[in-house]
Amino acid sequence: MSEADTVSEKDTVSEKDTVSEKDTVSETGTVQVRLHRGIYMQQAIREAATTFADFAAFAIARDGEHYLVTIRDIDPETDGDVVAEFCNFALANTAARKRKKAA
Amino acid sequence: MVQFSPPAPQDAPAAASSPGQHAIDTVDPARASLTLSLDAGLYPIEVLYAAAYIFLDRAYVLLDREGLEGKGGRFLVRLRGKLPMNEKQLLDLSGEFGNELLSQALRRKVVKQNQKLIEEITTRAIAGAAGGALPTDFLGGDDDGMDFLDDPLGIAVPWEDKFKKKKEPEATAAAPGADEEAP
Repeated sequence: MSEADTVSEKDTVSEKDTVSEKDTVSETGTVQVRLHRGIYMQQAIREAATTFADFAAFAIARDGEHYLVTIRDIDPETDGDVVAEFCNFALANTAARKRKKAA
Repeated sequence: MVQFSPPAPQDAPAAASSPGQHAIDTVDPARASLTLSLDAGLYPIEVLYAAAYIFLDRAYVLLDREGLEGKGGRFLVRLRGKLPMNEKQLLDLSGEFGNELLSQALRRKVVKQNQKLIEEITTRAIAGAAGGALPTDFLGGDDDGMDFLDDPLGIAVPWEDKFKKKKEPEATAAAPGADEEAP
């Protein structure tokens, strides 16, 4: 994922799109997920984004203590919850990387 | 005999839901989701990762942290079932998560306690597999100065050569008649 992918489009995402229920799709089809920087590793998030790149467009930016992941253009024909699966992958990748580091 | 001692409170808190340590913040059967709040000072992050990892196949897991790092802060664990769940199932899921936290905390403690033993056993096993534990008889320290073709015990001599019958002189004496018949 190139640096250009990091949210320059952040401005175009309205406040309304920032959902409190982090994994629900807003009316415009854009979802923002906030992943805590002390828990999720950036590399792990990028890896998860790469995994799901065929199903949606991901942009990652720092936002205080969190990474703000903006997910757009979610493929409507995809079975399952892309956003929630993405979060699971980010967590699994983080856990795996931390375990490797500790070993 | 291996003995397991119950984990110290700071390493493995009880899975029971007490407000200060492990509490259910929200339960939403309509969305099959619930939010747990854990004391970050009691649950190491590695334990949380390990417990969350176990649930990834059954639920969508989202971790967050609020407040300061360490004591005073709290981990927020949001679990959403991949299948529809009623309230009882959600509460069961919460209890299972608490049990898994406890299990992982104990596992971590046991590994920490036995770290040196595990490393020593592993080192010996690897050394053995690499050939470091050969018996001393096979080591090349006692060179007797012999070549590999030397055979002082006659082991390499073929059986036929060793026990071959010697030719009898009478048999050769009877042969002249045969010589005469030959053209």
